[in-house]
Amino acid sequence: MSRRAQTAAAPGAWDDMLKAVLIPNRAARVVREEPDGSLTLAVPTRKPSFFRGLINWLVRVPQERLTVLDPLGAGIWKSCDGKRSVEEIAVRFATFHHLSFHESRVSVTGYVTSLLRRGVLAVAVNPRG
Amino acid sequence: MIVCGAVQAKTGMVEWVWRQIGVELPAEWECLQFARDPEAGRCAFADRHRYRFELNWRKSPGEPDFGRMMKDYEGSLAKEWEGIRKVKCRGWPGLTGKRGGEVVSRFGKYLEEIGVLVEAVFIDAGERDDRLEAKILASVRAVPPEANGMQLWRAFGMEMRVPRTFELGECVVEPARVGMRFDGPRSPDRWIFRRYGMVKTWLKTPVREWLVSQAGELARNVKFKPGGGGAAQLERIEGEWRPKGLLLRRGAYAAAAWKSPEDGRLYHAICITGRKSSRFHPAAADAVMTACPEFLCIPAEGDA
Repeated sequence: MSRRAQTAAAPGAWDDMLKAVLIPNRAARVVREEPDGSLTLAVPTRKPSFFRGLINWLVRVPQERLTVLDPLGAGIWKSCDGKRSVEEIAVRFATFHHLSFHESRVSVTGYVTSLLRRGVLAVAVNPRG
Repeated sequence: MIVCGAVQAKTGMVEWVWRQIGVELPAEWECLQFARDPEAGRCAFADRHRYRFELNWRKSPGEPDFGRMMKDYEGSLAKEWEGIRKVKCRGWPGLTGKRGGEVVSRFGKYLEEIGVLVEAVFIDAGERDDRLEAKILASVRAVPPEANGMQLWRAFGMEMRVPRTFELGECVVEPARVGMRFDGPRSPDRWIFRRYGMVKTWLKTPVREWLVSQAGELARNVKFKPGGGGAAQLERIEGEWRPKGLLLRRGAYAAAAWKSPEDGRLYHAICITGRKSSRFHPAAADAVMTACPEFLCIPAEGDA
């Protein structure tokens, strides 16, 4: 009780994040879909400015970056349709895999973060106001 | 011992027993923060959107002066809270007030049986929910060791009973993976309880094979024991525990694993002990052991 000033503070204010909507990158395309459900996505890359000109002629920069999603990840990616919120996706994932809400939330947001970094997804925070 | 925890959500309230303190909370509130320290600590529970409840504890040699404590509290919280006032609920003295957009209510009680001062903190987004507060406060209880020397723990979907001299040495909580290790006062005594989710996605072998693979190289001469059967398809193994090192004590290793038909999760219980025969008995004496009747453990004579 000595830490009374700290107690009941909510360090994990995840509410805004739950309301966010995930939008798939329209430029991303499915390269391959395996029978087990895993997916290979190709996302166009943007050339850094120094790659224009002479260096571009010497070094070939790949025009697309491939991202392989395992069956679980592919399921999450397919759920990101630009309409469903993170909360809805987490609930869906929890129901399908018999997880608790927060187990699912941590799994989904962790995975989504990696997809955001790879440019496969974009996030719209609180689009409904 | 461990029991499948899939029963939650059916009744609406689930009992949590941690560090000899029991409390019934809505099934959808999940523990997101916990402390292992027996002297002082906190467990914090959240619904989908925010923290809703905190259970703070501190060992205390005697009942504190609540009147004075509340006065001190009131003084220190007056800067942060608006409309602070004293309240009483189910015999628990407390304070309530507004902090930002939420109402926070704090109640304190001394649990004499276990010598622990408990503080229950409720956080509501809009208005204070007095009925829920009363229901939860009425459920707070001391859970001292049972007559057979076993201490009950009920957390993260597991119900465990360990010898009262065992301490919670480690607790790992990750999505679809929970593990709690209780260490005995003497090496190599340790009991480990694990619960895994999303089993269909990663368990590609029979539970029996998986159980043996988990024993590791320190468990030797592993033999299968008759399992509990039933819908859970319990598997059991026993062997010798031989740690690497001349001075490390050897002992016995026993483990059980089963897939719960209720929640589809995989449960894994491991018991490592320096004395073999006195620890295990295959009886179905405990009514709560619904999923794992074969893994009943009794304390050794010195532990009780």
